[in-house]
Amino acid sequence: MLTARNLQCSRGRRRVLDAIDIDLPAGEVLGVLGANGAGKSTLLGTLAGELKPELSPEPGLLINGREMAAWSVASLARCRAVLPQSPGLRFDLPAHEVVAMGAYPFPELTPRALATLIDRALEIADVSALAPRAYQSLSGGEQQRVQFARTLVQVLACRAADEYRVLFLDEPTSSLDPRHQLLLLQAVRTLSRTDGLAVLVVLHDVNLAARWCDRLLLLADGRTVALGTPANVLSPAHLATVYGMDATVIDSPVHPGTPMVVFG
Amino acid sequence: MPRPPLAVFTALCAVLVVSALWASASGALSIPHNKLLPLLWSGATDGDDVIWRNVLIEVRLPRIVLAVTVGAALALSGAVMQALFRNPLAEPGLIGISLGGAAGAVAAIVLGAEGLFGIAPAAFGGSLIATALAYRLGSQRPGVANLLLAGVAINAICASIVGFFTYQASDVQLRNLTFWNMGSLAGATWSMLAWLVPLVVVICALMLRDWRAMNALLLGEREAQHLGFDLARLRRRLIVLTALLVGPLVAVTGTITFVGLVVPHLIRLPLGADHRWLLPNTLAGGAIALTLADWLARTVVIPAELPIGIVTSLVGGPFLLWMLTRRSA
Repeated sequence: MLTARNLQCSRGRRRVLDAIDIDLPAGEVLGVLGANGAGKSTLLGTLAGELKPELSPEPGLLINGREMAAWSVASLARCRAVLPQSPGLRFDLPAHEVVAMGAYPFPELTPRALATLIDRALEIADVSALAPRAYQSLSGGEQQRVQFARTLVQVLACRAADEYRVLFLDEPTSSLDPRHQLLLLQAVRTLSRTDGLAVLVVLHDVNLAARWCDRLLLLADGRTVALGTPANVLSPAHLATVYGMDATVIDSPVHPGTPMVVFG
Repeated sequence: MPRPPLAVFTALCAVLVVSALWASASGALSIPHNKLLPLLWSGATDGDDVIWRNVLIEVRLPRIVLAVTVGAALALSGAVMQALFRNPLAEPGLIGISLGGAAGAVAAIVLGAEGLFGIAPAAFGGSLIATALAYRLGSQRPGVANLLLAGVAINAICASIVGFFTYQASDVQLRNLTFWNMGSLAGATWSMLAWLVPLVVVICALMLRDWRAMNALLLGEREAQHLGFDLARLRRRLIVLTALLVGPLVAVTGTITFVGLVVPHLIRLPLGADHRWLLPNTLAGGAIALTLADWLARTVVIPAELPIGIVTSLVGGPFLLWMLTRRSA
């Protein structure tokens, strides 16, 4: 399991993350909400082992009880995948090739196992039909789904069923149509249950987050405003702190028990 | 859909063999094509055959083996640079790696180094500094132009170092300025090839092993890191390998530009950018390109000889212009 205690991170002199405590247990989807510049991407980058947190007295950042800094780049890639915000591609490749890159940390996979794995990821991300096409000819949303399939390959590749793996998604729905937004988050949630994935997903759509995440972390100015189930943390007071805006919270008329937020 | 990469590779190898045979037959002294294989296989008996065989074995063949080796290595280093710098215009000549090697070589010669075992390490050092500098300067801001500007500066500095030492040197010490700026394969000997070919083979093999990392770099440096490639180490390894490859080549042939730019792009057209196939095909393509370029350099103005850099620049310069206009469109 990934645990962070008293996590701090600065860029230049500005402290962008302060005193963050967080656990990412297997089988759970954690949503991160916050205004622009609240530190969401920094948090994701730090937890993904990409940005170095500042040293704190406590052992700050652990995966399976082992300090993040002690993990090699290659071994880390075998237990965590990251979907970045705006993935590009320098020279053109078939989308299929991009998805197959997710298996690069696992050179021991047989071609057959690899093909099965890729097919599964393509299907989950609903990009099977796009696989033979050139990546650069795809629309922004299609590219995002292809990249999602790539991270799925990485996080679903062969390993013991109880081995911990964590998936980081940075605004995965930002250029998707409503149907694919829903499909993506539904798939993430299902995989967290069936394959025991730990997931951290940064989202802007509060209602999507409320519906598909098990817990939510609300960030403002690099600090935790609230952490808990959607029903517990989505209160008008918290939302005002996070977004600086009035919000009404009602019980969703379609999905009872799920809070629904209307801004303004 | 990309064509089957293996078929392309086979075709390129076939073209390479044919063009190498063709090139070995023609020159100031032309050897009948139907005599080539008998001469090589069974030796010579009468007058003409003896001369032909001597020219073939002592002059033409080493030169063609050198062209194949240098062409393959330069083209591969271009493809590797393009992947590492994430820049389609990266090329040992354009960004100053070649001339950096030349500067190192020239400095070593004038300061008293002798033999290729003294000169090649100095050329490696010069290339290494130029590569590291180009990477530093070229990756500070995004976009392809930055690297080219850095290359202009690095080339200018290295050219002045080469020029300075060339004018300091005695005629005995140094081949002329044209050699370092335009390149030539005329110095090919079997004894030189005996160490150059194994070196190139080993380094190219090491580079080919990193095809996964180079593919991952197509996505971005962060993404490559996420996929388990330690970027700092990868960068260090590829920069050192490139310098190890280009530096000694330059010490032997002078600077030959544009092969590393043109060949990988031509290979990408039918095959796409998957480095698993791009890299081996680039090796074959580069070998063909330089064999043909050297054949032209030897035969266009018989009995004189053009510097090979004139031929490669004549093809490569317009190609670069075409790429620049296409990218800005």
